[in-house]
Amino acid sequence: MLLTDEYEDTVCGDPTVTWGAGATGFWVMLFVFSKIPELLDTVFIVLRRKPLIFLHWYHHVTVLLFCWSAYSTLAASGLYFVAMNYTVHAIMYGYYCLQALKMLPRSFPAILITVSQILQMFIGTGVCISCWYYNLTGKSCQNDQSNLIAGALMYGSYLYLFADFAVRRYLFEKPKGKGAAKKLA
Amino acid sequence: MSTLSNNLSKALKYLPTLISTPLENNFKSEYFTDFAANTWPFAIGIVISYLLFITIGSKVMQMVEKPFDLTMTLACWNAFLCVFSFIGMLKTVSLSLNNNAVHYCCKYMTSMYINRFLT
Repeated sequence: MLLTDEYEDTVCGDPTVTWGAGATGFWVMLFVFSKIPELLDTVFIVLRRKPLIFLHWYHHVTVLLFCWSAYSTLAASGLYFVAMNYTVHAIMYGYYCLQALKMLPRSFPAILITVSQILQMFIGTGVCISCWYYNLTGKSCQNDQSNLIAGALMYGSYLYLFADFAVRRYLFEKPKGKGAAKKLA
Repeated sequence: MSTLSNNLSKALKYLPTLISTPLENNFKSEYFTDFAANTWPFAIGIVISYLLFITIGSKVMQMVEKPFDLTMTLACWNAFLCVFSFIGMLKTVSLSLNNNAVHYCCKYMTSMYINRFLT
């Protein structure tokens, strides 16, 4: 990513101006608090007695706590995470819905979902590290230091876990046809 | 070409407010950010009960004869989250590419691609 002045403005600007108020602010608020009802995903897995992988519940727990922390410390870079996550979730939940209805075409490349998730983790880690760098070099960047470290660790660990999942699922596992993609996040 | 990128950035900027209710437009985040800052025990409590639910729930489900068939409920839940996330995407993505960034990206792109074809 190009670290231009424009980019710095988008991750460092005062959130009350950038994403705090108005329609965008309203949807950022909904995003943060929607992490609570999203825990229902796991309730479905448990009640349907489906395999529950570590990545799934680790993701739900850490996302909830990170959103809480980022929102309460007014993390300037927050809008990047919100916008990315909304986009990936729109695709992913659409995929899960079709999967539950058994309406997915057999040829649907499930790897696209995993790739979009891995891409999200790459950008997320990058944004956190760049803000950290801005803080270290003494630029005025409205991001709480411990929130950034938590974010970088969180995104980094997701990156590792999703990549690990992708390698095992797409490189080593024999294709099983439909229903092979496990529920992730 | 700069008018094109200017118009594009303007259009993107107004996308979140295109179809939005007064509730959204007059929204102020202070109350909610303060709420998040003051309710850490609540968030941690939710996480602990979530983990307890997983541990106890899985054990209970092992004892139950047949797992629940919640296919349709799950499909509806996922459909709801899909629509919700899609609207959220429309409301947030455009602003994360702020005016300057869009201007920058488009100026760069036009000089890279369009000019090459035109000249």
